[in-house]
Amino acid sequence: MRLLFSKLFYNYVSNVSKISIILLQNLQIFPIKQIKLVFDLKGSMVGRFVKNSKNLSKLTALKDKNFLMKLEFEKNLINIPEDKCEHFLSVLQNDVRLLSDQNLMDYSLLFFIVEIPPVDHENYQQVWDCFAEPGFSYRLIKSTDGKYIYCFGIIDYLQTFNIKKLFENKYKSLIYGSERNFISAVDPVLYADRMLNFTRDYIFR
Amino acid sequence: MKFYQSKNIYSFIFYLNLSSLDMFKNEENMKNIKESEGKSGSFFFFTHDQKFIIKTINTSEKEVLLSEFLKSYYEHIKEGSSLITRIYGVYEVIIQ
Repeated sequence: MRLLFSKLFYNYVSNVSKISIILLQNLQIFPIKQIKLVFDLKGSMVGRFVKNSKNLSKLTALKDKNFLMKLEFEKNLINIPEDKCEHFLSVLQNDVRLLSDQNLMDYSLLFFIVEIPPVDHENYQQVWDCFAEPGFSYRLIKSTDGKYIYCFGIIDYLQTFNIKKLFENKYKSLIYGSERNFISAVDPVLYADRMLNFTRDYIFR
Repeated sequence: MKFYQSKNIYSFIFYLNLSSLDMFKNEENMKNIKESEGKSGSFFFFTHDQKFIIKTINTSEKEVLLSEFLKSYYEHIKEGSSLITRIYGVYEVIIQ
């Protein structure tokens, strides 16, 4: 492990003397061919759109506005059994509460929609094996119609309110003036509520 | 000549399969590091078996991790179901 870290940063480092790194769980463990869509959701619409371009791969995480458009286009894209909806909402509620208690915000819900291949398909086993991966069983839901597996994970959750506030203050107060109550948009508790409401309205419904 | 020393600040990985982090197994995909840089400018590296991501964090993120957050986070994920993506370890690489 130490060797890997050292070698990894050998070319990357220029003039810093200390780097902090984390070892994270990778949520993308599905066969790429089976991935239908990936979304990075925040429950906000402001600037949450990825323009269509040739460079987009199917692994490019689309955002909230893209998500609503896809949902409009394919009404049955998300169909989750009722008991799973309830369970996942309560899990998510606990998660966002932990984060807002710690003054954290601006995190995303990473959401994979994976197509289940036919039984005789080469990827069939690999898709189902994902349920047995450590740290995955409680992230996955099989759709009611049996077409998809959905996978959820909260990512980028180490942003504190203070830093963000500073950033938002600098830019938005220049653009909107001080009367605009943009603080509400970045308050961790409201951020958590907004995320929860969004998933309740569009995913776990 | 640079000298690297990595310090283990916090780690849960003792029960994980360490071949994911084996240097020789990762040699091939180390060649493509540049392309896997994230939007935020932080460095991303996917291990050869796709199980882990090694990512740099900035000072404020590190402060969050080393504050009381880590304790409540650990208690939280210990209880079972959580959608929060797991952090398995926090490390510091010191270049001398």
